[in-house]
Amino acid sequence: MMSKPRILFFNPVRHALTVYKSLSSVTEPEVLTSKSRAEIFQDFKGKYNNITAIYSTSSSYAVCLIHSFELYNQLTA
Amino acid sequence: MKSQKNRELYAFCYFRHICKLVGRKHTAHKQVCERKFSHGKFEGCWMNPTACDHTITALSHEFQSIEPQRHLLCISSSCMLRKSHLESLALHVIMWASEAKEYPTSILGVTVSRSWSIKDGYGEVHTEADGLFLQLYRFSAKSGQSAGFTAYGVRKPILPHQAFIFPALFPKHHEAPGRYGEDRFLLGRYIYRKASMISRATFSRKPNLSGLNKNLNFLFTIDASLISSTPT
Repeated sequence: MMSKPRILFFNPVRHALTVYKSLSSVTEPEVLTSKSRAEIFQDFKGKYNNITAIYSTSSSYAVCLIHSFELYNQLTA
Repeated sequence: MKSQKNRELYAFCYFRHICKLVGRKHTAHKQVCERKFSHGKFEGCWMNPTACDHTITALSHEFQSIEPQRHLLCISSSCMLRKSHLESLALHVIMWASEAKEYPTSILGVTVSRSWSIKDGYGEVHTEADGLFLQLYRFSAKSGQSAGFTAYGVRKPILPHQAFIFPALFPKHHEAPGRYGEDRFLLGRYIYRKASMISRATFSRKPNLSGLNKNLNFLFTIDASLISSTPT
C-alpha cells in the first residue's frame, strides 16, 4: 500500500478545520516543529526530506524566519 | 468541454462583490468579460458563489479539467472571501492534487481590495520575487498591512522578471481617478487583460530546474490572516 503524501504546514490551520480533517484522509498533514532557521534547513535534509507539499502563509515568516525564496534555494541546492 | 483541455491558464473569478458595487448583474458582466478576454491561451471561468461551499464545489469540478503543468489563476474580490474561505480553498487544492497525484504547475492568487498602493505592493513583490517565488499582496493604504494568497508549484515557478508584470495589476487609483479605482467593473477588466499577459509571459519561458528536489513538487502559500473579515 502506498503511503500518503506528507504535507508540511508552517502554520496550523485555524479556520477551515473541517476541511483539514478531510485532508487527513488522503494525506499526512503535519505542523512544523523545527524551532530555528538552522533547524528547519537541517530537518529538510532529514525528517522532512520526503514531504510533498508545503502550506505556508505570509505569517509563516514570523514562525520560521524563512522567506519563500530562501526555502526554495535550500530545497534546490 | 473538451476544448477547455487546451487552455494553458485557467482562471476563476469571483465578481459578485464587484458587480454589486457597480450595479451590474452577474450575467451581463460575464458576457462582457467572456467576449473581451476569452481568447487564445487565456480563458476565464466566472462564478458567482454565494457561499464558500458553493465556491469550493464549483472549483472542485473545474479542477478536474485542469491538466498537470497548467497554471491556475484565481482572482477574487477580497471582500468576497473570509479567512476560512481562503484556508478552505487552499486545503481543497492540496487535497485534489494529492488525490490526483498530480499538481498544477502553479496557482496564483490575486486579491483585489478597495485600497491598495502600487508603490508598497511593488516593493514587496520585488523582494519576494528575488528567489523565484512571487507573492502578490494588496496593501491597505491606511494600515500598511498586506494580504494576498499565492501558491506556486516549484516545478515551473515564476521568474523574477515575470513577476514584475504583476504590480501592474494594481493601478494607482489616485493616478487614474474614476477609471479603475472607482469602477470595480473596469478594474476587473483591467486585471483580466493583465492576466492574459502573464499567461503568455509565463508560458514563453522554461526555467531550468534540473537541481530541484523531486520530492517537493508543490508549494502553496496562502495568506488568510489579513483578508477582509467582511461577512458574506
